[in-house]
Amino acid sequence: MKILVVDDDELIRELLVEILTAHGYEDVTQAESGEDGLEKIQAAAQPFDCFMFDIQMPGKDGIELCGDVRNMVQYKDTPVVMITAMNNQDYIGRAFSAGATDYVTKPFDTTELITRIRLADRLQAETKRASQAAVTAQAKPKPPFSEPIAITEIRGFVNSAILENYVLINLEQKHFPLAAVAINIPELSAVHAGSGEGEFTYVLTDIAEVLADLLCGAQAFMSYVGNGTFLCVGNRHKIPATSEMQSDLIVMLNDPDLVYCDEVQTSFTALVGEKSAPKLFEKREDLRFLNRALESLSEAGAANPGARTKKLGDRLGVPFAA
Amino acid sequence: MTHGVGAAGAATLESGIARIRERFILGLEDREDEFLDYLEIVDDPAQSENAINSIRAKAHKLHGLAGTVGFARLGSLAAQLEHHIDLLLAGPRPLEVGFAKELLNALLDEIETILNSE
Repeated sequence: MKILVVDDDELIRELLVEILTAHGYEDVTQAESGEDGLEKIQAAAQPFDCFMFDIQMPGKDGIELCGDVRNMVQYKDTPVVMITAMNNQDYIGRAFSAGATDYVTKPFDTTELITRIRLADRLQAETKRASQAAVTAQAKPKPPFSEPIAITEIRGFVNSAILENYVLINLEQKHFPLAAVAINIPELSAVHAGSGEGEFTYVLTDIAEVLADLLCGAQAFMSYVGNGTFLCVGNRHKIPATSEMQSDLIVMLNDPDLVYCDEVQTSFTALVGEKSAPKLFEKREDLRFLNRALESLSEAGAANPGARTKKLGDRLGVPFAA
Repeated sequence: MTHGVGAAGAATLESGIARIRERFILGLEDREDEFLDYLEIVDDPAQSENAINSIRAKAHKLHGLAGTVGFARLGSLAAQLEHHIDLLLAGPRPLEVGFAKELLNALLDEIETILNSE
């Protein structure tokens, strides 16, 4: 971590360098005044990762310097630890108003000082990580509504490829009789159109949790396949009846404690297709019953599950149902 | 004092602080002389305000450093002087500098004690 220490007292600067160096912070630059500090900041080839400014200095004081730093785009989030005497609480308030992130008091307690610097170090690392994530997220366009999204951390939710494996293994080993049911939430189209990718994923995750609760006990595995549609595969005898699922879902989806959408005001409905099971004459690797589950959504009134069916068939490598 | 560093780091830090402490002591006489210069003019109404501001600035520096290099009492006396001058400067004019001078004399006595014992 590259640190700039600004203090008009040479001995204080040297003391800070000794303490920081002994604790592994060896890249420390010193400045003897606010003006000198500003020059060193502007001339730095590599930006500083942390600043330590004495609050009370002749000329440009630490608070003014902190304000200058905060006006520089590259330093808007960089930790600024103010150095102050214990009886300067009023200065501390002004320092925080100017954008300081923390302060240490003179005379220095080494342990306290290093705790503050380590905190600043972590803060800087977190800020860098978050900024990088934000840049990556901005660079990546929002996926179209028709695209599947992998939902993680919800019991039973897997991506489409894993769902396919799950089905193939069950068909092969005949653990229990399988059935698939597709569920479409029409309002997800408006949520997708009116929100960012993050918010859309949050809403999908909330709905996934509702579905996991609804199908609890059905040995179900589920996947979001795009176009507002979830595909669920589980024990044919334990998946609830379509009408029962539909009414329960509407109640649960409109409970703001279960599904919360901040950016788009909407109430949710649900279209639940008929349960679809493999037919006797179909081969074990034949996954057409999944397509039939999706197609039954059309009969239930879903606007566009057909396109999804074709894509799913393509990905699963099986012939479409006639 | 040396929490969180290895033995080598602790030794380096201790020796670094010892060097700074030594330089601090070497500079104490100069600080004492500067305080005495201001003490001589602080009663002069024409120079009082400037002198008291300068005393405050010197006391502030001493307050910050003295405690860290092992002179807690000196740091505390400097802090008291600094704080009193802050109150004084926020009050009416002309400045009533009597108690500030008493605090400064206590500070100078402590400097003398340190210089005589080191």
